Amino acid sequence: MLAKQVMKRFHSLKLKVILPLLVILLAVFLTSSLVIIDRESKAAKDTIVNTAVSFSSLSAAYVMDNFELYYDSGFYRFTEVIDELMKLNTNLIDVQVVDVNGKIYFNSSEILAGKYDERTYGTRFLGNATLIQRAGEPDASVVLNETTGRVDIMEPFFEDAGGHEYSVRYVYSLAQLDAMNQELIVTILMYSGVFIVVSFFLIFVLFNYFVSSPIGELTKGARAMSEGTLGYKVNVTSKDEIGELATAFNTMSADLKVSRDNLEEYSKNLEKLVAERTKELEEKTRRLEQINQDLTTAREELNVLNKNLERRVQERTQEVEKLLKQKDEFINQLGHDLKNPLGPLINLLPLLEEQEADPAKKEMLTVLHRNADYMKNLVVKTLELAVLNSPNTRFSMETMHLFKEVNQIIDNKKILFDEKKVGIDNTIGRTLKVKADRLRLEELLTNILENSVKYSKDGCTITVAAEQVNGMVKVSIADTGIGMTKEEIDRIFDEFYKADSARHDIQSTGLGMSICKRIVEKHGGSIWVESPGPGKGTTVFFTLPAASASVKPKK
Amino acid sequence: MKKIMLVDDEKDQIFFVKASFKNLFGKEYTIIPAESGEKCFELLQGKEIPDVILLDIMMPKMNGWEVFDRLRANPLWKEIPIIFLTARTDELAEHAGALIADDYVKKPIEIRELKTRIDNVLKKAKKK
Repeated sequence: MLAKQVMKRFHSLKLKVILPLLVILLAVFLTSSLVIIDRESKAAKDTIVNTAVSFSSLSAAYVMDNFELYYDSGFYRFTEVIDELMKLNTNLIDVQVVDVNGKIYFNSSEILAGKYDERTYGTRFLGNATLIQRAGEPDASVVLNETTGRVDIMEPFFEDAGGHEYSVRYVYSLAQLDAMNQELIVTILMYSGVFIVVSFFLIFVLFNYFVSSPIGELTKGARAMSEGTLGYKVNVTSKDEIGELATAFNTMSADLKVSRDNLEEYSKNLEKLVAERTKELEEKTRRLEQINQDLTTAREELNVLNKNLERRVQERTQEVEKLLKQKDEFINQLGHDLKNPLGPLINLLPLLEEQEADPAKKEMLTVLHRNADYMKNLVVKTLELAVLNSPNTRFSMETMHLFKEVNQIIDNKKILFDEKKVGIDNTIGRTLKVKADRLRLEELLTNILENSVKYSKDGCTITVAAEQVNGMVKVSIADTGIGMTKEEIDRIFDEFYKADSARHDIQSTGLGMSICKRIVEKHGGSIWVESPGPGKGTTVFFTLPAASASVKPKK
Repeated sequence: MKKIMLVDDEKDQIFFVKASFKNLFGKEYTIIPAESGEKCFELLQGKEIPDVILLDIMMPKMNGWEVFDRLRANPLWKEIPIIFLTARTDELAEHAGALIADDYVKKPIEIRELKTRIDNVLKKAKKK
């Protein structure tokens, strides 16, 4: 926590600016201090040395006079003189009297240390050769020993006669210099301390005033802005860069405030708009859902209706099928009930007619007979057509020799041809095979042949021919009878159409050719009639699938 | 003389066939009437074996099919030619009649056509 705070401090702009500044100041101050101390110290040393030299040279005669004076009466008094000297120059720590040979006669330090021994004086020599040599020198010698901090001055003494017998040795201490230096350093440090404190304070105040507080103010502004208080005005009046920055900041802040206000207003408008639109959309969605629901309901209803309809259609279809079956059954039953009574009529009436001798009664029987025949034809053909029209009627297709079938039919209807003496010429190839329903084929041929016989003159011949064309067998039945007009040909297959309606042919029901057309079409073939014109005969053509062909019969 | 057994429940039918044959062809044909299937078997069991049987399909109690099946099932009678007589137009009656019987004749019967067919059937039976 503390370390973090310190780090924060360390990272502060103040520290970054002020600390290097202080270090530089301190360095400058210390360097200058050292230079001053050095110079002052040298000057002081020179003063001490110079003082020592002049003191020595001035005091040497005095020392020697007193030495000689008190030599015999002991050195007690002389010591006092030396004390006085030492008091005059406090740097003086030792005074010695030596002769030119280096013999020591007096040593003030020994006396002051209480080591005074009279007997030794004049017996001992100075400590080293250099000192001894110097004692012998006629000139004063000054030796400054920096290591010991001593100034050693050897001052020769000349008596009035001019002889050089003794020298006074002065030893000065430079200890005072150290003290002076120390004092100086303390002073300088004191001043420098004061200076640094003052400088620091000044820098701090100035920095605060010019840099830190405006930046702080800006920071506050920026923070305020970041917290959302736009339009914050930074209170910096200075004309420097920070001032410019502050002005720019204030402008920006004001602009931002305006922008934000605009934005807020826009946002409010937008919110309002969005709310309105949302409401509209919700309304629309609701309506759509309603519509959807309505649609679903409608669809369900439709489904139900559809199902009902389907069911009803199914029911109706079943009903219709049932009705159709009932109809078929009804037709069959009706056929049975209609046909049975016709048997006796059409067979017994001709017998009676033949046997009747009375012409009037015979004619009556003839009319009865004819009408019974007509009724028989009508009933049989109508029922045949009804059966052919029924969707439940199925054909059973077999392969058969056409020649043989035609012969069989001719054989069965022999009586019909014999009556009119009409000959039938079957020219069909013996190998030609067709695919047909045997009973329907018989019906078809019987109908056509009956027609041909009916419209042929007695003694004529009807020619039956056939040829294979592609997958079909084309059968033609040609007579030499009354022939047909184009209008008659066009209408011959219409139900209940009679070729000669004006004649009101009692023999014709007008259904025979319709039945033929239905039978041929159900075999997948076609039927048509050709005639060169009235009186020139008629040819009926029809096609049936050849035995090799795979033509499926129509339902 | 050819013996023709006519099995038909309607007396009028039997009557006119019999009358017509008698009038037209005299003694050439003898019609043996049977008013029902049961009567037909009764007659057959009484050793009355006809040359051909004309069998009506629509009959009460025992219909033409049943009679036909029983005739064909019996070794004594199975060789007797059978011609169906039908008034019904339904294909089932016609087709089945045509396929399983020797021939069939649609009602209303025309005596001369019936005679032709009987003769043809008898001719075929003789060839066998």
